[in-house]
Amino acid sequence: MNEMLPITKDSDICRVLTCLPEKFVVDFANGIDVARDHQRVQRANTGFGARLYDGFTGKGKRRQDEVNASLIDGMEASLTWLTELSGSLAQSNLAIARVNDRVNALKLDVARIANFSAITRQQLETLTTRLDEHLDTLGREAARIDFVQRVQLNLDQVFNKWRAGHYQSFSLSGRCYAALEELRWGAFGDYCRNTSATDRQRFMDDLANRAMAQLASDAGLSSKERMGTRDHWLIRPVGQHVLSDASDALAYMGDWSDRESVPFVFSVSQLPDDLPRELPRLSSAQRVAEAMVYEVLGDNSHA
Amino acid sequence: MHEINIELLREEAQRLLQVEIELLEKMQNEPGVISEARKGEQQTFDRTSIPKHIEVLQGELAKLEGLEMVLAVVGTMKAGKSTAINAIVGTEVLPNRNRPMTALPTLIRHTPGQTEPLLKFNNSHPINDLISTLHNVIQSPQSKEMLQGLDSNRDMDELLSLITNQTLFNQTYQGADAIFGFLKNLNDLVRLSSELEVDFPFSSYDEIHEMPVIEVEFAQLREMDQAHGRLTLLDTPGPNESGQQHLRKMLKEQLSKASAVLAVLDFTQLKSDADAEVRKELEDIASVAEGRLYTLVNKFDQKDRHGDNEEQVKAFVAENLMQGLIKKADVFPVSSRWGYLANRAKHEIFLHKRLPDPEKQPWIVDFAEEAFGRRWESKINDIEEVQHAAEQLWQDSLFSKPMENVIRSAHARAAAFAIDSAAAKLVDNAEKLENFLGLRETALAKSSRELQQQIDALMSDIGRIESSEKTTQRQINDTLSSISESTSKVFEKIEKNSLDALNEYFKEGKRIERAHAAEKKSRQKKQPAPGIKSTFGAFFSPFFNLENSFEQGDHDFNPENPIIRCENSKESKTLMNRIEKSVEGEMKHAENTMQEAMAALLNDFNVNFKNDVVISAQKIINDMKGRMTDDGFSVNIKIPSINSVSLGFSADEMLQDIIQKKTETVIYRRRQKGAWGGVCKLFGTKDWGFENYEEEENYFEIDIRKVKESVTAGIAKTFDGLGNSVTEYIEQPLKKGTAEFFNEFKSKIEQIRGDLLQSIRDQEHSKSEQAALSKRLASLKKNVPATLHDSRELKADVRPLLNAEAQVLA
Repeated sequence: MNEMLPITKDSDICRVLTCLPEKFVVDFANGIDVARDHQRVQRANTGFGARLYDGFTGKGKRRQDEVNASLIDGMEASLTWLTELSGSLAQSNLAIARVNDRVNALKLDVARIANFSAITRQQLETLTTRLDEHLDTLGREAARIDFVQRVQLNLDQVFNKWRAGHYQSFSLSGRCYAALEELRWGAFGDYCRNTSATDRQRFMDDLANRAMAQLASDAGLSSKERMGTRDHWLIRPVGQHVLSDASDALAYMGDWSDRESVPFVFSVSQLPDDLPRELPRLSSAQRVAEAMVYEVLGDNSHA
Repeated sequence: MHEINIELLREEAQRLLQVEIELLEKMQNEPGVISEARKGEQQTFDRTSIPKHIEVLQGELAKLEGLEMVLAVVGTMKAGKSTAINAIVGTEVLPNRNRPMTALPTLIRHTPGQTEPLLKFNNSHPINDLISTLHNVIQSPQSKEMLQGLDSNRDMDELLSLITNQTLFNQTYQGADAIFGFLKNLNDLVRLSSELEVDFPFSSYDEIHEMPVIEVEFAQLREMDQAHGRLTLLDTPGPNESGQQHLRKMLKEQLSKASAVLAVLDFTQLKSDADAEVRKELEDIASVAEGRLYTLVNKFDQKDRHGDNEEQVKAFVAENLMQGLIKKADVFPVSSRWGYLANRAKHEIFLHKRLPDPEKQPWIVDFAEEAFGRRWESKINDIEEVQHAAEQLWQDSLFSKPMENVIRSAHARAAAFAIDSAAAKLVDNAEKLENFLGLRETALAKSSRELQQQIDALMSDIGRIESSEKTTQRQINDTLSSISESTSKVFEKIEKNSLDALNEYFKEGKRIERAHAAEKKSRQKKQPAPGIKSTFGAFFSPFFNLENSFEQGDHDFNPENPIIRCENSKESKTLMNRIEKSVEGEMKHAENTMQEAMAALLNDFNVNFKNDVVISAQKIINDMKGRMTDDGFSVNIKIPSINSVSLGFSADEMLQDIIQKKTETVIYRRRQKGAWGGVCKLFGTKDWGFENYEEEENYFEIDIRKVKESVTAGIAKTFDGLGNSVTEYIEQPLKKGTAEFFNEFKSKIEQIRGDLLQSIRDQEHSKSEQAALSKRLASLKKNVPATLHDSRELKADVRPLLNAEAQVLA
């Protein structure tokens, strides 16, 4: 029953995984495609993506009718939604910057194609202005506090949450992945993307140590002790406290992963029956933490 | 610690092998990464060596996929070892005759689809060579005489005619009867060789792949998943069977390698078997096969109402007989006979849907009587009834549980071995990959002058290693000469002490002789004085029959005469036994002295090796690493394994082997036949200096001069071989081990040098080609650190399983 309910910002899963709406907005922006005529925003009919869509855009019939009636053109409708969603959902620098990138790309596409209405162009301009303002605001806020201090705050928040048991709905390795995604979308990620390689390595090492310690403590092992990857690290917990959306949410967060280049993220988020060849069948907390930090925040990640 | 499932380790090992194989294949296919082998230089990987590396890894993969489980079966013929094996197999592979049949270790391998046993003896040529040798030997008059002394029986006659006609052994024998004939001839051949003092080529049969193997489908395993591996039984010669001396060391090795060991005991002899010898034997086995030894207490069907029940038997064997060396849960009272009959009947029904004619196959009657009782004939044709009864009998045999446990344990152990072997190769290969790809990539950014400097420095490292090797060789020679010095000292001591002891015996014998003479004189008048008895009685009286010892009156006693006169064979034999024991004791004592001396010398050598060689090797490596790190290279080189230099066994074991083998031939050589024959031989040969001068007159003489000669010669003969043994057991392994150490070490440095030489050639290409190569190398290298890490972890995880109780991890 629950599985069909739309997910909103107030849903439990969004409290646990605060980066979910951020990713949703970015995906939404990336889903807008000028090449397709009369498109509706890409919307899956079922599954987690659909529930996010329904929840964040508001599924109320009245509102839907309103939308359908007033906005004929798919592109226009999409941009309207994007403007609204990026205002309400996107809090992070990364999300806004990504949406901004997408809007800039759309502007170029629109410029090349003659038959777009002036309204669309106008919408894009407005959106750009809004996003710039948003980024400015974030920038000013950021300036109030030292960057490194914010990074530290981000780390503390995430690890406090983990330690407090808020990630208990995820598998052991899933907790690590959730934490890393939260950081990637937060100040920590911003910092890593903007600093020197050596400095980034230092931060990533520190992060890996923290994640290793927390993973080991969750698993009840020492950090170098190995246990079965499939039967322990990837096992989803069961019980009343487990959020039913947890696995779907991780699968959604990790939909970018492919089995060869990021075997840990792929396995943790997609839970394939057939594990990637590069994934060790026995892993220690250290191995999981180091590999995942590298996969989520390293050179080759999509970050 | 978190319990790690062996299957998971196996899966991980397979995964890593696939990862490394894939990477090596990729390297072969990427342009410019691998080049042709060049004369005078050695790269870590080249076009010639890389397929070999792949092949090695694929071999490890194959071993992991088809695990070879070797279940060694030990026990005496009497305990029903053959029946136990037949019960496991479900057909009669081994003849259950009233004589030992396993002269050579023999394998029985589960081969699906092979319903009739097929013996393969690919390694037949050493035996056939032996037959030609024997053919020549039996022509000699000495041998002819010897052969006449042997119990003549049909089997031996058959073998002799086989030798006379030089009939060679085949490479295959099909069916139980042919296999029986083969095993019988082989067994007789071993005994005959020992009689004729021709060395049997035991060393040609001490490795699993050299042994005769019987291929047959094990009924019990018919439905077993082949992915779990293949079960092979290793039938070992029992403790009292011929050739056992030679096979002892080998058996110990095989037992230590076996996936599991099954000891077969006899329920009916359990209490009487509990003597020191059997216990010692079992203790030895338990110490070698710790944690994977299982005991079948056979003939449990012969238990009567008052006999011990299952629990009591388990407790008795575990606690009393084995003194806690084996757990109660690993002791299984069974009936091999029932197990065999039931399993065979089940197998027949499975194969042919009916039982064969009892007229032709007498075992059917045995089965029917056990399964149905005396009124079996009315039931034997009802197939459902037979099937049911066979199932019942199988359950009553109590065979299922031990089979399950043993196979599970064997599987875990076999897997642990295969994983360990794979892990070693994985680590080695991953280290090489890391060095190779890293060096090549880093070197692209260096000037050729820098590279040349590194190359020259490596050259001088090799020079340093060579000089260290020379020093070590000198140390080896010093150690060896100390050993030979100390052995010759011990040799002198043994000789002296033995002869001293002989003199004592001579005096003792003379005293008796005088006592005899005195007594005879006095006996003509009265009963022997009690004093005489008390003086000598404690030593000799139970053996020397004082009443009828010497002929009447006319015997002159002469204390200087080297001849001791004994009244009968029993007396002389007793005296000789005493002398033998005393000489033996001397040798044993000397042996201990020598053991200590040798162990100390070898230990000194090992300590020196560790202190000097290893430390200087470490210094060479550190210097090299330092130079390379300064230039931005990252190389990881380890000192080769030092294990290769230490001996694979203790000095204690080695000496035991040498001395026992030799004393056997020197002291006991003539005692292989029955007691009377043995004594006749002792006195019939000049070798020992015992001569039966006047047998008709019923007295014996021992010529102490000849005994001395013989003992001196015997001791000389014993230690004559010691030089060879020291060469074989100490010098060769030591020299081979150090040579391997230094070669491996040099080769590691050579390979780095080779990789750098290749890097100079890399720089001859255009900038863009170099950039492309650098990118390729980086991408190939990407996952190597993780692979190396996982391989090392695998190696560390599997290590404890090799020694631990494998069954709990299955």
